Amino acid sequence: MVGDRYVAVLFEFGQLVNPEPGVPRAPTTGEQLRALGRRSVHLGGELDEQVVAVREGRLADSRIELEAAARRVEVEGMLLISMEALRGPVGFDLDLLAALWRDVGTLEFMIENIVVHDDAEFEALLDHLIVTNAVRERDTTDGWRRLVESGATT
Amino acid sequence: MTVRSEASEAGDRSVPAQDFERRGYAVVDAADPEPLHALRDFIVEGAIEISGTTAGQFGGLDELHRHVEPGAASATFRQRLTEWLTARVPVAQLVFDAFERDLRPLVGLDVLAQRVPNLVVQPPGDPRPTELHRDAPANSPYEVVAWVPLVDCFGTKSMYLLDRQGSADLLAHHQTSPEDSNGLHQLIIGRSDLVEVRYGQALLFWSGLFHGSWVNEETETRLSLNVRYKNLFAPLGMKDPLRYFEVLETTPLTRLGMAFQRNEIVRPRVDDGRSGIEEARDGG
Repeated sequence: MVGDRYVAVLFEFGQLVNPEPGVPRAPTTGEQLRALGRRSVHLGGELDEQVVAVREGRLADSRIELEAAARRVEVEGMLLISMEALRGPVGFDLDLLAALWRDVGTLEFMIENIVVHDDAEFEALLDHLIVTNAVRERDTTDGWRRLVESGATT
Repeated sequence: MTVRSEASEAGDRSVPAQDFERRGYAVVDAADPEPLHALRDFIVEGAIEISGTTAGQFGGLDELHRHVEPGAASATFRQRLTEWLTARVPVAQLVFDAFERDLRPLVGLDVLAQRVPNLVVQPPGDPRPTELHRDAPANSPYEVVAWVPLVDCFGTKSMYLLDRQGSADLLAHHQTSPEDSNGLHQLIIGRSDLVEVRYGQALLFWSGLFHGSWVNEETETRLSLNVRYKNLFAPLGMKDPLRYFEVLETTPLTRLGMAFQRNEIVRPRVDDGRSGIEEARDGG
């Protein structure tokens, strides 16, 4: 019996330093692949032979590949090592995320420990990401910096 | 532009909120102790199961050292109890419900909560207390920590912290005399407060305060948990918000705004009662 097939999405961190404080380094792509492989077995399936690797800051290079992989009918889901793989130049690429979810039954983000199996879970994730993007974008604006510097707080 | 320089709602000016702003921390009573009792009951159940003892032999959470050795065994116990608890109980929600009266004026109505709480077990004489540190940075300086003991905490069984001024002075000392570890230690001794927090209370403190613990020289175990809260729209810290936080509560207005943006992302369509997500997955 052939189980469900999952596309592994790796993330090539630009520096081998994990941005998370206290963690000595980011996982290598080999480590990521092994971890996602174990997860696919845990889900009762296996990894598809197609693996997509996204380089930090270069999501545009992999966008078409990601969408095409999700559209393949034999693919049940995508296992992404991190949400960072979907970070575009101005926050997480939510259009791409929505496009992926349209075509697969499972989306998982291993480092963030986020599992999406139904529309309600996707909606909750999307809401959190919408706000995260908005807050990050606002935090870098001159207007916000001026507001904080002015002491107009409390 | 008009900016409020003082909170104006009556709730904002409660004594705990004033204390919090002045000192950076406040000890508050649970306005609704029932969620806290429920949480403690779960923790007792988990502690009994994981320590392999029986309810009759257990003797209470501050007697945990009779069943769990300090050091590595204690760390393993803590990890297993955390996993046991978070798999069964919405810890952040229960803590928020118990202390909502005092948390709400700090974080508002749209609330993010730490997904996995930190559980701390400090048996008497455990040589590994929590080192001096502050959460922000790397956490956001817009966070509040709810430190919730499941036992009465006093003396060295509790934790210490430096208030806003003390934390500022400590930082200034470290920046001007980075090699003076003795002076730093004296400053910590002189300026820190060992805060007495009884079961049924919480210590709410700002993420920018320095804090830590000493070796527990009392005869009882300290078991406490800490959970962080922030406003959904407050600036993020360096910690990954998706991994670290979950949305606990939103207002109706926020939900409308999110739905508006969500539908723009999933795809614009005529409203026929189905969500944009459903419609998109059905192919239109």
